[in-house]
Amino acid sequence: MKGFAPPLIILVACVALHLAGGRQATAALAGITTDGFDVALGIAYVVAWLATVLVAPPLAIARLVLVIRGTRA
Amino acid sequence: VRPTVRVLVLVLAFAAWLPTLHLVLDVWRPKPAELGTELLAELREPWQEGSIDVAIADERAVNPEWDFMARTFVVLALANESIADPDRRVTNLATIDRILADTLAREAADGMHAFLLPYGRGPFVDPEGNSLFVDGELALMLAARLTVAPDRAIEIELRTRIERIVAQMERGPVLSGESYPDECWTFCNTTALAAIALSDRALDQDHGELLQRWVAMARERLVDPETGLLVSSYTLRGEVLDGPEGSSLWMSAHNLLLVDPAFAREQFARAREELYGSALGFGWAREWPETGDVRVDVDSGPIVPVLDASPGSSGLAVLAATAFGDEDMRDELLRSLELAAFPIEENGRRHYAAAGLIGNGVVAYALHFGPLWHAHARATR
Repeated sequence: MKGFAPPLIILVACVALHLAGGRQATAALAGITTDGFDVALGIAYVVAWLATVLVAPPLAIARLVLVIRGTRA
Repeated sequence: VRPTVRVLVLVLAFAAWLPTLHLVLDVWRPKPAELGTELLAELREPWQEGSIDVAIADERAVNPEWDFMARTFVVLALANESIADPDRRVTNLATIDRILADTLAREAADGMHAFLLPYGRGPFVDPEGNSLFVDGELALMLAARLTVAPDRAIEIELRTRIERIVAQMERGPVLSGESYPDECWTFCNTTALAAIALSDRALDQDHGELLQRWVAMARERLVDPETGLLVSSYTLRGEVLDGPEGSSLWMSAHNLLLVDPAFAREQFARAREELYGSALGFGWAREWPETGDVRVDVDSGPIVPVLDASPGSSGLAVLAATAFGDEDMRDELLRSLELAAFPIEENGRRHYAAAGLIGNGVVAYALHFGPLWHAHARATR
């Protein structure tokens, strides 16, 4: 599992924020509420979600390629 | 493994993943028609259950315009769905009538200020002091309702409203009405023109000459010389306040389809060139042309750095894309919506958490767009 930690951490953080209501809290980004906690939760969720979708998969793919390459070498 | 190999593999992994992402997203995102149905189901529910006061409380507290415009988009979506699917007509008419009754009641109680930002209380230049933002969208809702089915009370209300709008625009030095004190918005004036065009058919009237004069005036006075796009706001005397703005242009181009289709198509083509961007299967719209300053305001919403993507402009760009039959643009924008607006799905209903009532409303309308405008085009052909 060594090397797979970064994408897993991103995924776990996103799931945790999702369970904490992060997805609903993104409503704060539309300017509907100015509640500080909701804004912070919403922004944290956006960052975690985009990292999960854009960054975690290529990190995992790269690690997988390196593992396969190491096994074959 | 050598660091250079690691970096190379990582770069290749990103290079493989990012262009694939839109294909992955296409597997799980709903088809446009399905999405439209799910969004409208969500927006219809509080009206049907009588919980609308709770549903709109937060948004009205921040900006009553959002509540009002969301009503317009929901009514337009419901009217389109009623024409496209007669089985939905009775249920939809009941919801439309509920929305209209509530809207007219709020207006009767608090005047036009029920739906305006506080600065609307300042003195209007026009002595009548009516907001074309409120009258235009209300007339459009009434005309859409009347297009679906006749109703004597709605007809009387629409006739009165259209007379007031036409008189206001004719009084204006540049054939335009104020939405706010000494602020004429192209969005609102073209919405009023669309309402006039639709009501001409519903009320058997003819304001074609006024519509033509407005377009001639706009070509002469309201087109930005640098981009060829309509400016977004101007004083009652026609002095430009704000240049072209995406959130205004996409809606205006869509409105102008009922007024002057050639001018509308010209504006859409230019707006697509100046304000629309896409990459890797995703699309976004800017609020301001690249040559101008990037400003964040109540219409643009928070601007995404680097891309200058504006949620307000992107949402209304979905409407323009469907209105002008640009399916590539529509799909690219819907993918971005799916990725960055955070869908929440429940019992066959769906809304985007980061889009608010108005954002969800405009996309629901965009995905039902067609029957109302096409019925008008057929009648005037």
